[in-house]
Amino acid sequence: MSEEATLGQLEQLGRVLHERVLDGDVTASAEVAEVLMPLTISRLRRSYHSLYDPHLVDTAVEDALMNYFSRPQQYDPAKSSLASYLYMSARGDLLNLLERDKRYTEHLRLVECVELDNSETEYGVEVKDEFDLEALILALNSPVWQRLSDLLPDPVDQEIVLLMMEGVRKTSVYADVLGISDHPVGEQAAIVKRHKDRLKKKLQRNIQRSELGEND
Amino acid sequence: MTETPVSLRVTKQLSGLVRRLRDNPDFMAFVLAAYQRQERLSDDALAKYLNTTPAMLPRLALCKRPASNSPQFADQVRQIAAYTDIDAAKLANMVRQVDTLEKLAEQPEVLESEKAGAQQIELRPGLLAATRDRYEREPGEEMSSQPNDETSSED
Repeated sequence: MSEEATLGQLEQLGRVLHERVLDGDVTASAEVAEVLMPLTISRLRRSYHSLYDPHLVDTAVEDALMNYFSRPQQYDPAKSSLASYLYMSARGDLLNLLERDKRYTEHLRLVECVELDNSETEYGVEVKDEFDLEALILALNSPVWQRLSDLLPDPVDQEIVLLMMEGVRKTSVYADVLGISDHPVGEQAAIVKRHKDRLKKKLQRNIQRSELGEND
Repeated sequence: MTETPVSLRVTKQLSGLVRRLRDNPDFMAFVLAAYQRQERLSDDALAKYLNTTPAMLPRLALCKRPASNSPQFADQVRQIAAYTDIDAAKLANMVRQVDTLEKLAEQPEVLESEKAGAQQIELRPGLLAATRDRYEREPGEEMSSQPNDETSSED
């Protein structure tokens, strides 16, 4: 089975489970946790594999699930899949945990496991080589993280940037966020590329080199 | 949803979430923790009482707690029982016992005032007896209502 088909099934399962959670179904929460917790942990661990305490990922995913269970109505299925929602929520919780625990900066190796983009990829665009967005935003003393929501008030834009930071390359994931999954694949790719280019340019324009920590 | 056994890795991940939900009365994690305290049962002993495996307990704990005063109580218990492959009657009695003792614990002033009224005192055994009372069982179902009877051999 193709990965896209699997993603489609997961998305459908998430929709069904979410409806059951809203309906007060007594086993739906357990099923959400059983299906999506391992997936979210795995994905977050891949993105943050150099954490000094890998259990922070587990804690963040637990936070995300507990938040979802207590306020399931905050999730809007029209905007993203439940899996994406939980991932983004857990990712935010993880960053908060890291921010609270400054020690992580001594242990975190910012391995360039993901690139902002790659000129060899189909959708590659020209960006400055030294523009390390991931390092920039993960730097806790950087004001960029706080500014991101100011620069990109649209939640869809924020989600796209966060996916880019995660190194997500699959057009289908971006298409899902943009709500264009029903468009032809070629059209999806073009639209996704246009959004990614726009956001990169916007970030490049607004983020100063001094914020990249290039004083050494 | 298939009731396949969860892997050890997933069980471990779910257990972390279960620990954090033990304080949330909306979840079976709360009920299980309360029942274990009341009956002084370890995880293994609880699993043995429920005739399940310790690995299945997180799945049970992550279910929402059925409301014993709800008309859907029996259906909800049956759904959880089917999902976890655990005896519905045992689950129902467990939830009811925890519910009842929880309500008693919420009314310390009433219990204090019992000294002034024998009528109130008579409610207590009735309430406690109700906790042992009954989920309607299917013909042929058997169950021990005394979990420690089953687990005393472990001690």
